[in-house]
Amino acid sequence: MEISSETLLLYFRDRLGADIEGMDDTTPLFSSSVLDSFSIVEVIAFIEAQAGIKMDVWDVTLENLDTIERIKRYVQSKQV
Amino acid sequence: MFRRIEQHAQERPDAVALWQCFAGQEAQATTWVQLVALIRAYSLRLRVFASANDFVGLFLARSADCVAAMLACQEVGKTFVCLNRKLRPPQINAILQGISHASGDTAVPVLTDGPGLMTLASSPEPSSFIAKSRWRVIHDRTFLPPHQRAMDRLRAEQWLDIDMLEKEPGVICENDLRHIYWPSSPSPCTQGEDKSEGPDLPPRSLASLEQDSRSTCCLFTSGSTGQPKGVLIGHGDLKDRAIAETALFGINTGDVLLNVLPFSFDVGLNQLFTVLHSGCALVMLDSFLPADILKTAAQFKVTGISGVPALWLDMLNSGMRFDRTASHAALRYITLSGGDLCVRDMDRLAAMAGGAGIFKTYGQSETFRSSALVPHEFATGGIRRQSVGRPFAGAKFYIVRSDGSLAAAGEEGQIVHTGIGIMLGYLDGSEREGKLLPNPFQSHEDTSPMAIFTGDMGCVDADGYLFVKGRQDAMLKVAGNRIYPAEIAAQILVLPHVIEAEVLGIKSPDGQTEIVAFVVADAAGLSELGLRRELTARLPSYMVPRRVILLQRMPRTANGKPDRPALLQQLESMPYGNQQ
Repeated sequence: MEISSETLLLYFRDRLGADIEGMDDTTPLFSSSVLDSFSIVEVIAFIEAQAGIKMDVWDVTLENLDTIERIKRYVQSKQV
Repeated sequence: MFRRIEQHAQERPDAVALWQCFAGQEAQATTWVQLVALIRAYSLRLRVFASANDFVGLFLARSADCVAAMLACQEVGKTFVCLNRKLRPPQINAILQGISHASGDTAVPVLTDGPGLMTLASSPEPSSFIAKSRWRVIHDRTFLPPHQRAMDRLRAEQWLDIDMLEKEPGVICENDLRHIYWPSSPSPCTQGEDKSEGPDLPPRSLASLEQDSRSTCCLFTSGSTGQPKGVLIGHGDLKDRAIAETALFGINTGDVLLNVLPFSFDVGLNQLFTVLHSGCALVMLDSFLPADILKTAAQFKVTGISGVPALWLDMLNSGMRFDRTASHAALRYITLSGGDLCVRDMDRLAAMAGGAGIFKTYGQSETFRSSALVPHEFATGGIRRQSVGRPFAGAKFYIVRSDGSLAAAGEEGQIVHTGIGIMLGYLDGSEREGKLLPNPFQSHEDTSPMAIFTGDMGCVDADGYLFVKGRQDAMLKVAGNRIYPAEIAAQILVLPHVIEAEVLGIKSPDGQTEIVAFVVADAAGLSELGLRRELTARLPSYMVPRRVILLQRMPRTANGKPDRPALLQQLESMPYGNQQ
């Protein structure tokens, strides 16, 4: 299943208490402290549940997780 | 140190000193000459922004700006205080309070950045010393609209004195600097002016302000009590540490070191100053994820990594290792600093390093480093691998009985450190727990005037290798037996599926000491009763924990050590009869 920007943004706002105003697909999430580093485990669990994928430990990098664009790209790559 | 950096800039102006890694983006390089320019620029700004202050707080991501600000503080005679990025407003407030009381400054100057603002704005209510401080924000490419809004909120709701640092005067461009060091190179910034004088820079004699006995840096350690305490480090000592570490690790200009530890932590700070002293390159990675560390180490052909147990445990538990036949061929060494691993994990660490050398180091924020076990000693395995090695260059240690006399070989006592690395004192002027005292062993061979009574217990074998038993104040007396929690934790870690264990002694209502173990395991099938049963086969009955508490993950302090106050709090919140 695909995962939409809106789904992610609402999750960040409602469950993780992030300020999402003006945030777009390229806004850094963890490296900017918009999300704190403790949230990463929850974000991974959310992505896995939403997209029906399992994230390999080698894939758990900021390169795959630090923006909405990268999360979407990663999810797509797992579904090909 | 600034002289040394200028020297690197003159010899190899375009060699990269610092790489700042951004996830998935191009890393940002800072050459030596750019670093010199940045330090000069920060020196000028600090002269205005912090003209009347002795201390400057740095609540910054590890970046070229952060490094330049640290060195600029040294240059203009201020003591810098790096605040760990993981701290929350209550700890930041406590540190600013400590600085304010020690310096007499009501408004402590602090530099921060976008992510730092997010942390400050996360506080539900204003904290008095955060509110009293003067905050200046570095506007770099990581500054985002949410950061701007956080700044606006802090100003409007918490009345913070907060502004962009760029509004302070004093910017020098790189070409100005080239013009000074290499007068033949073009200097567009000063075109049309009389070039014989150069731009208006602070006089170089400023460097002569360097006084070895002056404090240059204050490190805050969480301490075993959980109350942060400031450790003052001397200007000359920080330099000596860098020289000693350069020699220990055999660093030369071709090295590329990977930095994952904060500069607010002595191991991270020493690594940075080793780079600045030796002229090699530092890759600053702002990620704690094992896969990021491996990828970055491969990308930059990293030769050395300073790490703490928690970092390597994460790597071991995710099943990752360095591949020295291919992508990590350049990796020469890793360090295990600021804590120890159990025997089993030490073997796994050796396998993970893939043949890269392993340095084990032992020390405290108050002492820098007392001893080091070097790779060929580590590689021999056996009992020696459990030691923390022999005295470190320029340092000495003694094992002292409770009556102050020297212990015999193999006899346990308190570890007393002398020589290189001794702190100037605590920020609050106290010599807490009688830690910093005149050296009782002063002689021709040991000229150190002061000694640190570490509070760590240990013994030395016949060959001079130091074995650390645990904290003196962690030693428990249970039914008349002397017990170190670390010994019990070591046995718990041997059990299958156990990832991490921390053991504490708790006073029970009847005044007896009770052993409680906090365990993180990777399987759901483990029960507290089952674990206790297995431990009875491995420990004398008086050492078997009365309670075993299974945790999802270990709470950690900002420096990555198990957070004991948090564990105690968790225990208090649990109904007593409920644990089994």
